[in-house]
Amino acid sequence: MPPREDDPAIANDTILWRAIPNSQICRGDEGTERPESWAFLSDDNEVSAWVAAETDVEALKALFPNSRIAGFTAGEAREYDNIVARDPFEGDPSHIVICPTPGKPAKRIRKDARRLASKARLLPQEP
Amino acid sequence: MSYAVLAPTRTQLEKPAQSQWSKVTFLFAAPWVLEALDIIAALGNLPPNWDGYGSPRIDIRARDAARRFVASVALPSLPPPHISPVLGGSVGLHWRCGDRELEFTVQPDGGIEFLKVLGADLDRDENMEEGTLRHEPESAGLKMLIWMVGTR
Repeated sequence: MPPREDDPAIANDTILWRAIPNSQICRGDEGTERPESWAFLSDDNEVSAWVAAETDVEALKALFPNSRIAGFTAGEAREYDNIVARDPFEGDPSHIVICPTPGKPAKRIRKDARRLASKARLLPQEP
Repeated sequence: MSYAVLAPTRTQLEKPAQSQWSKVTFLFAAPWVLEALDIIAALGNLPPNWDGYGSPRIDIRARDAARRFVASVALPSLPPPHISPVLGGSVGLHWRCGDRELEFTVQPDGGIEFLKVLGADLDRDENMEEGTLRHEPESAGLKMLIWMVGTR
């Protein structure tokens, strides 16, 4: 497979959604919640997300039961030396992948997962 | 000192992980350790694809190594860890104390990787360290945790 290339058509202010398993959500001192850094790692260095404006949140929730949806921008993903690329999946054109830029050291990948986790904002939980 | 106050209750002993570890951990362990051991054991109940991204089940070797690690670092001064399943069949242990954090990833081969957060400003590279606990991981992890709860 050819190396992924960043898609400039996905603007930096594009909101992306990623489903986070409930078990990977931690709580801070003030009761605030955020995803664990492990939620932004992938065995193949391709972290799945969806373009929010092109996705039905209810459909995404149905795909990922026992999960919460976290939002962040494409710019925040790129800020940490990542590529944001389209990756239509099972007929869903809103699916994208976030990949480290070529040559990015593994140490940086681990730290940047923590950074992106702290930027991600969990959508409110339904009562 | 009376050991009686630290003895397990019947309810605690009914849980398998707690009864398994009770003999070695009860006398000096932190109050959270028994619950942590049970949470780690329960990760074994997660099905394949537990995260929706195709992750395998949490490996029994990772669970055993995580339980050994937790039992070895169960200082009363430590807050309870947040315990997560992690991709690749690993177990994640996350401790936080103020703006200091330690994340340990316990892998199926028993290896333990760490991410140390030294300050709130994560964009400063010097505020994070990562690596692998290669030699006597429980002792090395304990030293890190003592640092985390130490004076600033």
